[in-house]
Amino acid sequence: MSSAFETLRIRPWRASDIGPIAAIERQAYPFPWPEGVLLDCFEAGHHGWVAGERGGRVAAYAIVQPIIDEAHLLNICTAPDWQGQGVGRGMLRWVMSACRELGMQRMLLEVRASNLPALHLYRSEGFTEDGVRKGYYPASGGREDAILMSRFLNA
Amino acid sequence: MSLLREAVLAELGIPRWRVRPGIAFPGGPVQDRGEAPCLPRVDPSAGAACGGDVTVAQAPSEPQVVDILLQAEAATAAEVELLARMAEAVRGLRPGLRVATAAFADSSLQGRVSVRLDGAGLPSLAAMVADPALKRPVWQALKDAVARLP
Repeated sequence: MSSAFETLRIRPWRASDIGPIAAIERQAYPFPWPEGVLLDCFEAGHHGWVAGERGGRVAAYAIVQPIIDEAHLLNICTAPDWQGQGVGRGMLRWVMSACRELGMQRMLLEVRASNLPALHLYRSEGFTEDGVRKGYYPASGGREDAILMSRFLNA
Repeated sequence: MSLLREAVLAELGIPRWRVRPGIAFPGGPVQDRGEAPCLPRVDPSAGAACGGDVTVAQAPSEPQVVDILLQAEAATAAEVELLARMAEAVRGLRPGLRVATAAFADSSLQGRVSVRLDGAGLPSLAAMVADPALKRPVWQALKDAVARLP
């Protein structure tokens, strides 16, 4: 299946990506990650990848915390003007493949219960629900549940 | 010991130190106690001496030193696999890191920093297999261990 993702270049993230990623966070989410959190992830050695245009503008990114043989997908996001073109799915598949190459056996994530497009994407890519973390995310009406999902990477 | 007997022993691959004085070797002459070979003592503290059973103390081999030693008891295939993946993950933390795994009783390996997965300070392999969430504190401990290395 051809998608806009195939036109993008993927590379490991670097410190200079923190600013552009934070800008996309602010565009894409009502409760974006602040730059400090992104920087903490970078300095902690978490894996991160950005998919960008040839001109260098970031179109999507993903951040993974490795825990021995498990990949915790902390953040995956597509810039608003690249959404709806298969970039998120392409990025997710690419990240799963990269983590498999790094020797990780399983990928885990959590997603807002109200984020139906993301839930649909994860289910269609083989993730199954492991549980619910009550009131995990801040939300405009108070707190929102997180759905915990995982899948084995060798399946 | 006669040359003939020594040749027979050598041909049969029997090391000399197994020869016990006063015990007849099949097909060979009966050995008197006085004939007992007096082999050089390798380690005086080991008490090897002439007379009685003759033994040669083995020179203690120096333990191999690695950067990080993961000490754990792996009883099942899943635990063995997890331990191997842990070692691999630790190797990924710093290029060139020498990482090894060993059972608790294994003294042939020594770590500049050792991490013991015995269920006391850190969860055992069996506990991590049963509850993967326990990998998180172990992973932090492994990262701390690597950070302690110069």
